[in-house]
Amino acid sequence: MTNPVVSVITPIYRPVLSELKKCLSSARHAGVEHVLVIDGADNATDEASVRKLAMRFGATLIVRPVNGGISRATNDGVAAAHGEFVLFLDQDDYLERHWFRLFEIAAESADFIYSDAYVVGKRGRILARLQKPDWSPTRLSSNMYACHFFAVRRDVFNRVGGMRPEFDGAQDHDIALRISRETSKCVHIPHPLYNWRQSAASTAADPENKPWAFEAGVAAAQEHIDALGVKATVTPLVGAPGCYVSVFAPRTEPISVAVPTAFGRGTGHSETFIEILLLSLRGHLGTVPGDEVVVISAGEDTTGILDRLQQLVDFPITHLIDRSPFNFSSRCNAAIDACSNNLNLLLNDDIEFTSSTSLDQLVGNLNQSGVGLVGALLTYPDGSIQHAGHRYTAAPTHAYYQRRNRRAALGELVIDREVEGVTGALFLQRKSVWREVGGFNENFPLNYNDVDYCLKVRALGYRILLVNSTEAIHHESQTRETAVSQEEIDRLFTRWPYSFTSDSFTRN
Amino acid sequence: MAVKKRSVPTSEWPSSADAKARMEALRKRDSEIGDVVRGPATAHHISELEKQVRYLKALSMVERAKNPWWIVMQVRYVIGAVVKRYLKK
Repeated sequence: MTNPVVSVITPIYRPVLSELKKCLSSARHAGVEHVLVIDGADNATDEASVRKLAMRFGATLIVRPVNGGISRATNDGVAAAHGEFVLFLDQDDYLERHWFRLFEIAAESADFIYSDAYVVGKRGRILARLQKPDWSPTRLSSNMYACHFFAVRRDVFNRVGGMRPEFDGAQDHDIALRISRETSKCVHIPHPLYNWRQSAASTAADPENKPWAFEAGVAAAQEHIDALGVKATVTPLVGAPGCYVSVFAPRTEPISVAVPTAFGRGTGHSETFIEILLLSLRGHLGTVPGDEVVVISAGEDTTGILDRLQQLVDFPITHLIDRSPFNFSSRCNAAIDACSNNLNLLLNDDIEFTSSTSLDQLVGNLNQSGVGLVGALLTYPDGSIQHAGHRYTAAPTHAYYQRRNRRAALGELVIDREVEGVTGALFLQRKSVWREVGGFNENFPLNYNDVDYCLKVRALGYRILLVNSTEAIHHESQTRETAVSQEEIDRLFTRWPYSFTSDSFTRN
Repeated sequence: MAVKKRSVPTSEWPSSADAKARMEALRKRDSEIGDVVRGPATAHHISELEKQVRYLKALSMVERAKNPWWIVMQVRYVIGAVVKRYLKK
């Protein structure tokens, strides 16, 4: 007899029999083995009925004499499993009808598989659809976005040492982080494969129901960060249960800031934008020897603003004059080329740093393996969101544009996470990456140059991160017209015909 | 760290033949990437998983449409939206 493709592992503790029955019947399929583990035979678990159900659905039943917690019960289940994969399914959850069809295809090339979910009520009514992002290792260290339903190749599960009881409550997060260090073959199925039942005591209903789970989550994330050799402290985010932020150590590498400017001022401002920006950089820049600012403009600084500013700031300013016809892309390329450091922060002149802006967070995130570009959360002066990452669906847009609060599914507006792209108004990169991708494309003289740039960075296999833990103000589009021409749109879609069908990371 | 106070050094761009050459190399690299993106190796490929996801999405729409309650709810939703709009006027 051949081994099953997948063994579904369901630890059982004081089950509702009707829910368990639904769980068992939903998982029944050729090539699927179901292993039930009763975690401690006590009065509230009707062992005889569970045994009867197990027999009816052909499931294997293991009874642990003493309650040992979910990790031990899961490990016992995996030890008895024969499948190539082990899949974890809670006793009150159930699978969608066609789950195996998608699972089987994903299993061909993956070590770790997770899917979208329906959050359902007690009676099975769909309350929400939980759309998860594609594989996002940085995001995973801040939030267990894959949730508790996932499958892992059995030998990978054993290789990483199985579930660890000391992380009970966040045992799934802990093992997912260890798996992320073991393999990169992680596949997201962008379709709900299971129904996550919301009960009054579950985290689906209220994440604050299990505070100990989040303490265990912080410990697991910290261990992961330490194992990666990153100097950061993991801290829980206030008001966002289950979301953490890695606070990075102060940077030691100098940054070159490149700023194209027209010395313009916005409506209601007495100061020019470049003044507001450079003065706001005090305390952020100039703290590491070698920090500098390169300002590029079409004409001379006739009013001597830069000379005046130089007396007020602790970092050297250099001024480049580009007299060629206006092309924002080539101007950015020229400014970056003139930067003497490898770390380049590209800024629009209408950005303003605040006490919530942290270059350490940007550098810390950029230094993670495989990251090519990082951006920050940008807000309008009234606090509403201007930019929280690009969203590439029918056309490129700003995700969560003009939202006033930071509430979003899976903590998308508070945790540092992977995105399809970030705005050119503020991003940090290495000059080596800029060279590798060929800089900004000059065929996009005004709009979409950042979108094209981000697509190139991703096409070369780099990840792009939105660092929500750092914020800046963007006095957007007060200095120039924002209208996008049809020609620019056509050019973008000709160059990237298949990139705007669905966004892989911002899906809610 | 205090920087010695000074006037801002200003220069014209491109300042040298080297800078022009660097920009030219950049344009060349950009067009190479454009070729890679458009090339047959990365031509749009719908994976089997994506095909099945699309199929199941369509299937679930059909299944929902078969449910009379779903139809009632949709009609109710549309009427509600129309009434709301009318009341706003």
